Amino acid sequence: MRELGMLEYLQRIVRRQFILAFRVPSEFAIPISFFIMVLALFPLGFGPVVKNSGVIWIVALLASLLSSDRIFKQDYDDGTLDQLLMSPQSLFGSSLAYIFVHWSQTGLPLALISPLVAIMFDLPGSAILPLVVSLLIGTVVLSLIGAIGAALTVGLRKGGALVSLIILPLYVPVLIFGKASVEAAIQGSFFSPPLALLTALACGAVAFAPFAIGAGLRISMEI
Amino acid sequence: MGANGCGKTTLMRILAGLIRYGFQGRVNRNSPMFFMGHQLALKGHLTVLENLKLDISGWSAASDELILEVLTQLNLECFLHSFVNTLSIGQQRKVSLARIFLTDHLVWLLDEPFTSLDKSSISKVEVCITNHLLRGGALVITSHQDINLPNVDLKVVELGGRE
Amino acid sequence: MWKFFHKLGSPPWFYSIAGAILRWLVPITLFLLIVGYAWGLLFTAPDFRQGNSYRIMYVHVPAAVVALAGYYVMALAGAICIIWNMKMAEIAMRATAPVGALLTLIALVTGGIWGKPTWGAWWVWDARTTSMLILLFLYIGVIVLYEAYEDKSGGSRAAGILALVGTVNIPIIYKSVDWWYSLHQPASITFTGGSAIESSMLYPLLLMITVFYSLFTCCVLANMRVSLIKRESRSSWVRTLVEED
Repeated sequence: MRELGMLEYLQRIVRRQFILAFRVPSEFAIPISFFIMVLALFPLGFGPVVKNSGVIWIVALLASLLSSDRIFKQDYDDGTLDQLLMSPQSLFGSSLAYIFVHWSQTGLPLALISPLVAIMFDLPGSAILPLVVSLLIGTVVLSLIGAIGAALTVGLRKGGALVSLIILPLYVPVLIFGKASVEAAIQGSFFSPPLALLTALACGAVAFAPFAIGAGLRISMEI
Repeated sequence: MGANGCGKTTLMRILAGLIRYGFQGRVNRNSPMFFMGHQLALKGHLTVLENLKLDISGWSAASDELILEVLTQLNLECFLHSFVNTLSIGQQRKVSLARIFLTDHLVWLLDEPFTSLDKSSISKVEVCITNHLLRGGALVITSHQDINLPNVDLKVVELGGRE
Repeated sequence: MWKFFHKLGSPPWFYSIAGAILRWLVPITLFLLIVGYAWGLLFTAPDFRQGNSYRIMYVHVPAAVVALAGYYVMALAGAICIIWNMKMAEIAMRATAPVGALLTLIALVTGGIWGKPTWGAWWVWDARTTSMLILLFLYIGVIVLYEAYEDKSGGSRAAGILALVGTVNIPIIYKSVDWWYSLHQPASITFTGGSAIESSMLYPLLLMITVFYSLFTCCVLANMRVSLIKRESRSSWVRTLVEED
């Protein structure tokens, strides 16, 4: 037996979650399917042509929202979270590991599929790159914020809807900067300023959210 | 020891440092503890080997040989590559207990470890506990039934019911 | 100095002090409220452009200002609750939240009432209104969170974390919404920006803001006293209190 280093510990968490994700593909498939299905509803509700990139962003928000409460739920139910909190490894790193896995199951596929969606929605070609990049970065922030909400409510019985209520206001800046960058590209101006702001949000979130997540997990475990 | 609902699990969790008590905050942990709670902390969709190898208690990394050796002691070596959700509850609990032997913590906190175990397994675990105590380890254990640990001084605390 | 804070943490002491404060604060507040409204409603001239309808500003602006400040007070109480685990801080946070939420609601509604005669619509989506609305949601989130917890201490701490996350976000949200609307609505409606108000309107406004702050304090203190009684209903000091009455 040898001592466990931080990096190796994080690798463990990531490996576990990924193996589980591939063995239970429904976890993987739900956010993406939701994303596409709800997007398909918009032309039905609004008329044949929707040239609005904001719709894509809002649906991405909703997909992220709905998958957030499940970040820690499984591990809370089967006792893994107990072990996590008792380990000497810092919760900061562990939270980031969990979020990384969650993001790669929700935000990343969303961002990768968005060019297809952009074509479906008849967006100009110039919009595709900013859409993908803004979604890539923005969903990181969404996952982080969602994890804060999940950590605060994981022990509660009515967790799911509550998470949405808590974190939706916090999603607003992400939506704004994400949408703005796509719009800027469509209008032909530089899309990097909003993107830079989005990246700043992401950096801030990565630096500070894990503290809130760790604290929230500790509080939730007391239930 | 105590009846259902008298707070045994809560006490264990306080000792483990998972729950604060009073206003003084959490128990200070001078030495690493092994905690096994009510739930098994196993992932059904992972194999036994994966569960033990990728265990997130975070203290040490166990080699494959050690894992195999521990499982053999518990008569579980044939399940090395089986998914945990194909095992019976008793077998799952044994896998969960196997984690103890992958670490060398001095303090063990076991919350009702004997549930679902058959007699031979119970006696095996009792032997392990005795060895641990004789080596100088500490143990806090909750149980419904009597525990048979010869050669060892046990302090039994009976907890009253809910207030 | 630290002794003062230590004393603040003691429920019976706080209860009596808060009662003493309320005894003189409430009448003063009510008096100033009447004075302020009389001044604002009767003694200032009607606005050049808006006529008499601008007077709703005397409710709307103070409510909005104190609602925002209240969130920070709540977050501060939450922070104290998390760091030092004081029960009084918990009670303070839980007392502040509904008052702040109510003020936000008042601000939103009065904003709408102001908007109808001025711009013809009950609701206009611009930076201020949207940020106020989001503030309301943030308040509601905190309240719902701590109500969902059965364990009061855990619930207060969780809500405290949420409130802190919210405080960091409020400036970000406001700035981002502001920027967004500056892109999309070049003719943005500026409210009384402070420098644009005539001084005869400014002074009653400032008075009203002060009055609202004081109202807020009264409500929070009263709320806290009630929660204290409810929570400590089984302790000895409450019993002696009840027996004295």
